[in-house]
Order: sequence, then structure tokens, then C-alpha cells
Amino acid sequence: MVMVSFQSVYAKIIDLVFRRVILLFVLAVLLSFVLINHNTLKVKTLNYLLPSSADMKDFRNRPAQMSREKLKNFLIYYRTMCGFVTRDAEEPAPCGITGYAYYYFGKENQAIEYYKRAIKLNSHFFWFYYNLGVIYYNKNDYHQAAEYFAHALGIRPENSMYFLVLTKTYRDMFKLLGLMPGDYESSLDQGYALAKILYMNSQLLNEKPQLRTQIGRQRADLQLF
Amino acid sequence: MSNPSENRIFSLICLLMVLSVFVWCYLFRFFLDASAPLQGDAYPYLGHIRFYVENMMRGVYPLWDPTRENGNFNEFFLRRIGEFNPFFWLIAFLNKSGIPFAVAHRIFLGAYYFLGIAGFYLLSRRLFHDQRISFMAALLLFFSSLGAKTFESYILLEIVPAIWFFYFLIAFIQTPRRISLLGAVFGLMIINITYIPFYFYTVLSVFLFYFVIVYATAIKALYRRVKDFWSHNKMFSLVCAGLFVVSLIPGILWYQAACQGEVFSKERHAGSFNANPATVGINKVNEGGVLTYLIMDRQFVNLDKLELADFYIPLFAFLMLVAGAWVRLNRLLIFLFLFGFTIFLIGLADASCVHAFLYRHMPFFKYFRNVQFFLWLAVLPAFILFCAQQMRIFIQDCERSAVDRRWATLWVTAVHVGAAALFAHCGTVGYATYAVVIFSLGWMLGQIWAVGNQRVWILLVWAGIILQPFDVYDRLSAIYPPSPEKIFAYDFRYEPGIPSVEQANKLLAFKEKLLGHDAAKKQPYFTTRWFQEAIARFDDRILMNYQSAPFIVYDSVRRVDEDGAGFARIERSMAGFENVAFVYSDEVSVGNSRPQSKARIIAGTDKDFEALKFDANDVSVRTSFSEPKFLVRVANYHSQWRAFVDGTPAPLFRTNVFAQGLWVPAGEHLIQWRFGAPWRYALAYVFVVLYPIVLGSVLWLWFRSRASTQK
Repeated sequence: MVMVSFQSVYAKIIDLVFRRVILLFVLAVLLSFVLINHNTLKVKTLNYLLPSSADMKDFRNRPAQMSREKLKNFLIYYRTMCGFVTRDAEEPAPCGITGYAYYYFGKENQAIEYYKRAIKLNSHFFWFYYNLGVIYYNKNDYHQAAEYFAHALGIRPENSMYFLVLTKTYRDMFKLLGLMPGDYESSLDQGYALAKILYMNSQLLNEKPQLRTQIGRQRADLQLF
Repeated sequence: MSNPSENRIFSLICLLMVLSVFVWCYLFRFFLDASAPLQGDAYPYLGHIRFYVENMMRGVYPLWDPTRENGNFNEFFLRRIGEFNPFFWLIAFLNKSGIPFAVAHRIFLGAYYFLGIAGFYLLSRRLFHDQRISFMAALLLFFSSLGAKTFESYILLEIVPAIWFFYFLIAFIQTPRRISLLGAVFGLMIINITYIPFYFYTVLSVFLFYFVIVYATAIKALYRRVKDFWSHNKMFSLVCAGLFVVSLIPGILWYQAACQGEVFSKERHAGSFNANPATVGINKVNEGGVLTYLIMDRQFVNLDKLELADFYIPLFAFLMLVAGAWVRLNRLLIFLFLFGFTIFLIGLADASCVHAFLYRHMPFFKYFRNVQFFLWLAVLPAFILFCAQQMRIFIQDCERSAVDRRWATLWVTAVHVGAAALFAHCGTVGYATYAVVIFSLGWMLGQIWAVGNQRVWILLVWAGIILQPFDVYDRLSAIYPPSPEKIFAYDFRYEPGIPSVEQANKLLAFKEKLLGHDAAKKQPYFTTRWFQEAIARFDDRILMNYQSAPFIVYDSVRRVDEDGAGFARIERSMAGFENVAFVYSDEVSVGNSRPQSKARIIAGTDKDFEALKFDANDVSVRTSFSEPKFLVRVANYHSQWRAFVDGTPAPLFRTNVFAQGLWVPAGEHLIQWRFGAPWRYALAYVFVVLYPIVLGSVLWLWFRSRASTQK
């Protein structure tokens, strides 16, 4: 009796595991792991999404004036790259750039989310903190803005330079834009100077809300590097 | 189908199919009435079709295209479209009836697509022997992105004959009959005349490979059936085999022309280690291929951003797929899975080892790129057939009460609730998506518990399948707003009669505007190798200025070597229209040693020069020069061009790197240029007649077999 019931259970298991369509689904997944080079697939996808290099200059210098369509191309490209890049050293860069693209695409919350994600991955890069500070500053959240500007000012410039020089995502951008190390070094200098001003402004506006109508209307711009 | 209830269901299916056609036409109305321009490859293909059909309407088989890249060997572009496809005559007919060409072409695209869908429905009927499931399969394909691809790609020209081929092939495998054999051969004949039938032959090879493996036990019976058919239809079978072989001729001619190396596509050939210019470099192939982004980005979410090139299958298919995960496996399911998955792996290009292996070991893989087209050509239909087969087994089991209804209800409900929850989480789906989930759930529960009227369920399935595509494609008008049709280059130049300098200049200006500065002549997609050389060697402006002159008369000629020396001298001469032409032949006489300083440009009729005829392959002029002149026609040289003086063949020389020149004696003479040998045109006209005859025979056999079946 026990034998018969065992046989019927065994037959049921065989039927369920080997004679059902789900077996093909499992097979498809296994074959995909064996036969598909997922890294190549990612590179192909990124190549497919690569925005026009002619728009790179506008993306860095005049993102607010770019058409939504062109901005969207950058957004999709870097957002996809975020999901693909897994090397620790490389990952924060596309996250930060995605935050930048989101901001000019009019989606502040997503921009903040991506900048925070970038900071979590690399907390020694000036521009992530600076841009996050600017977003909060433009949102009139001066308390948060001051906090991020303070963080930014506390970062040693050589750490940021180190990150810029060693990250392929940025190096590719420098190549497209024809920038030399001196160019983004001076940009970093200006960034620190601006961060100081904005930090002081944020503190002032945070402490004296009555001044907000006078100073607070000025908006600052995000910067890639 | 003698069962009255089956007849009623069939009538309803027919009605819904007609309704679906109207819905599809409504969704793509801006493309069908030609108010929105064609996208991607569909646009140049419109150009090829238009050039071919308009020429044929004038009685000219255009083997040469005088409007493309300073004159181009047109065989390549004719192979692209498969010019003998008899369905192109629909465009000519509509155009002759007063419908603008652009609209006639769109109507053709739509009608050809419907023909493909009808074929898919019949193919499904052959496979499933179930009209409801076949209807679902056809509807899923109808409203997939294959329909959108009609206005973005040329894939339609390959997939429609391929679908019909497989329909006839399956019919022949099931019951060998004349109509099935001839129909399958006709499908092959259409595919063979396109320049890359290799997509199809890859699909067919994979199909046959797995067929032999999965249906090994049925091969013996099939062999007996085919043998029996052969013994009764020897002559007919031989004729079919002959038709197949004959249909390979245009492709072979194109291959031979490519082997000669006179024509060249730099873009395609770049990176290839093969000497044949028709081959494609592996890097070029790897630029394409199926992408995860292409498949997944707008499949379930972001549907409001769906564009013509995006891959899309109605949600209903995925619900069928997951809900049917526990149905019994059978041979057809295994076959469809192996077939579809293998083609998918090939389509991934360098992202899987399969394509690299085939590229290395299968010679024909070196001749085509854009392997992502496999996605539409085979993976999509196989996927839909797979889902449909799952549902067929599911319904059969429900009808036979072979499933545990409680468990089935639980599973199906869980799948649908899970899908709805997932969509709610993503937050970027429309209400239509949720409605589809509800309709699908209702339909599947109805099948499990065997309640309700079948016709009502068919209506529900119809609504469930088309609801989401309706929502998705209805937004296309915002993405592709109506705008004037783009202008073709040959709109400026292709007029019977000789092109004037003004016309040529207008064309060049148009090209520049269209393609950007200096792009008018840089990197042409496909041209003669000498024009390619001229582009590489000469200054853009000088070459374009020289090209603007239709004819130039010289007094003297200088011989130059093939080794490439003297380009600077030729360029200088072309820049100033100096009175000396440079010819690549030792056999040419040099003429006047002290000529006038400037060559004479002829545009249109002059006192000693009259244009008599100008069409794609023939140019005739009458000259009455006072002394022998070297006449250069500034159109690309090709060895198939022949010149005649008063009907007598005269030597035609490659001049100034890329142009054509010949000595014209003094006095009144008739000068003719003709492209291609007469047998080539005779052959073309034989094909032009042959294809409609074979189509007519297929239709005749079809109706005859239907009539005999009904009897």
C-alpha cells in the first residue's frame, strides 16, 4: 500500500517537473546563463543608446537649453549605465550624471535619489555634494543645502581629481569635449569658491528667513565637473 | 467545418478579423494616408520601389539608376526589394487609378501586411486545428510591433512570403498536394530574388534541423507520403524544382556582379577580410543584434513612449505564457521552443557564441548583418505560436476535465493578480493594461469552469488582445506628427530628357541640405569603386562642380596609368574645366595636341548637340561637331555601359577617374549609351511575366482544391 502511494507520488512529481511547460522556462534560463555573454549584451545595449557626441558640449554647459528629446537620450543612457556598471570605482559616476540629467529633465526627486546613491558609493567626490546642495538650495531647503555644501567643502580636492582622472565615464567625456586636466582642475577651483558662497547664503537664509525674498530668488546651476 | 456551431464561430472570427483590420487602419491612419513620413529603412525602400515601379510603368526595366550617387548599378537595390514580386503591380494599378504614389505605396504595405496575417492564421489552423486558438495567434501577431515595423523597415518584404512558405510547407508535410508544393515554391521564389534571402534560409535550416530531431518518428511516414506524391506528380514536381532553380538566377547575377568588384558598399564591407565586396565585416554585424533594451524597455511599462522600431507583443500573450506554465509538454511545444530560442541566440550576434560559430563556419553568414531582424522574422511568430499552443492544451484539458479546476483557478488568479500588482508597482502603465488583465482572467476562468457561450469568450479575447495595442498605438500620432513626405533625390533629376546644369545643381544643393555640409558625396552607401576613389581623392567642391555638368566636350586626351598617379593633375584639370580629359587606356587616341584652354560644357540642346533620349539605361544624342571631339558623359563609368556611334559599337573609356568618355567623329552622328546586355533585359522581362503566372497558378490551384474539398 505504501509502495503504491509512493509510486503515485513519484509519478506526480515526475509529471510536474519533467512533463510541464515550466521545464522549458527553466531550460531557457539555464541556457541563457551558459550561452549568453551578459557583459557583451550590456555593452551592446549601451552602444545602442549612446547619445550623439555633438550634444555632449550642450549637456555639460547648457543643459537647461537642451531639447527634452536630447536630454532624454543622455538620461536613458546614463541611467541604463547605472544599472550595468558594477565595478566599485566606476559605478558612482553614471549615478551622479543620471541625477544631473534628471534635474534638468524636471524631476528633482529622482535627481536627489541618484545623487544620494552616488554619494553612498563614493563619499569623496566634491561635485556630488555640491550638486545635491544646489538642488536643495533651489528648492529653498537651506538647511539641507548648507549641510551638503559643508560636506562638499570638507572634501580634499585631490580626492575629486583622483576620481575624475581614474573614472572611465568621465575620461570618455573629457575626450569628447577635448578637455585637459587643467580644465577640470580650474573648474573644481571655481566649484569650491561657489560652494563657499552658496554655503554662506544657505546658512544666512536658513537663520534669517526674512532675507529669502531678496537673496533666495537666485538660482544656482548644477555642474557635471 | 460542417458543425453549425463551428460555422457560427468561424463567421464571428471573420467579422472580428475585418473589424481588426479597420482598427489597425485607424491606429496607423497617418501612415496609411501618407501624412506621416516613413521611418528608418522603410523610407529608402520606398525610393527603390518607386524608382522601379515608375520606370516599369514607362516600360523601362531600370538596371541603372542615373539619380543615385552620380549614376549607380541598380541591381543591388532591385535585389533589396525583390522587384519581380507581383504584388508591386498593385501600386502601379492604384497609381494609374489616380491615387498618389505615396498613398498607393502605403496601401500596398497595409494590404501586404494583412496578407501575411491571413497566412499566419492559416498556418496556425494547420498547426492547431482550432479556429479559436488560430484567431488568437493571428490577432496577437497582427497587433504586435510587426505591424508598426511595416512603416519603419523592409522586414515585411521577407516575412510575408516566409509565412506563406511555412503555411504551404506544413500543409505539404501534412498532406502532400500540388497547391502546397507550388505555394511553397512561390514563397521561395519571392524570397530568392531579395538580396539577403539568408535570413530566411537560416530560419529554414533551424526549422528543418529541429523538425528532424523532434519529429524523427514521423519522418518515415512523411517520406512515404512524399514518395507517393512524387510518383503521381513527377512532371509537376520537376516544374516546381525548375521554378525554384530559375528564381536563384537574379541572386546569382547579383553575386557575380559583386564579385567583379566594380560596385562597392564601404559601409557594409568595412572590416571584412573577404575580398568579395558583398561580404560584411564581423564588427559591422556585431553593431546590430538583439538588445535587451530593445526587447524589454517598452514591453510592459513606458508604453506611452513606444516607437515604431520598438519590440512589442500584446500583454495577453505573456499572460497566456505564464498562466500556461503548468500545461503538459508536447512535441510541438518543444519544437517551437527549440526553434525560437536558437534563432534568438543567433540574433544576439556577439552576445552569444552561436552567431560567432556560424559566421566562422557557414559561408552565407558573411553576407548579412542586422541580425536583430530575426526577432521579428522568427522569434516573434514562434513565441506567439508557443503561447497559442499552450492555451490550446490548456483549453483541451479544461474541456476534458483533465485539470484540477481549483488548482488551475488558483494559479491563473495568482498570475493575473501578480501581474496587476507588478504593474501597479511600476506605475507607468495605462488603464488598458489593467483591463487586459481583467479580460484575460475572466476568459481563462471561463475556460477552466467551462461556463458561458464560446462566442462571448471570443469577443472577450478579441477585446483583451486589442485593447492594450489600441491604447499604445493610438499615441503614435503624437510621436510621428503629420509632415510632408521627404523628397527623393531623383525628384529633381529623373525627367525624360537630358538633365540641365540647373537641375543637377539643384539636386546637389538638395542633397547638401538633406545630409549636411559636404555630405552630399561623402561616404555614399553604395556606388562604383571609381566614384568612391574620386570621392577619396578629389576636393569635395571641385568634384561636385564637375558633376553638375551633364556632358563635356574635349579636344584632347591624355593617357594615365591605373597605378593612381596623377590625381592632383586630374583634379586641377577638373577644377578649371581644362580642355584635356584623362583616360585610363592605352588604346585611346590623344587628339589635338594644342587645344583651346577650356573644355565645352553642354547642358541641353545646342547648335551641334541634340538630346534625343534619356532614360535609366539608355541615352541618345545627335552630334554634328566640326571636328572629332572627345565627349565625356559625367555619369559613373561601369564596364556594362556600351557606346554606339550610328549603331556601331564604339570604345567607351573610363575618364577622369569615374566618368565615361568616347571619341565622336566630325559630322552628324547618332551617339548612344546603353547599359547592360540585351539578354539581361530579356531575362528580366521573362521574370516580370513569370512571377504573376506562378501566382495565378497558385490561386487557381487554391480555389480548385477548395472547390474539390467542399464537394
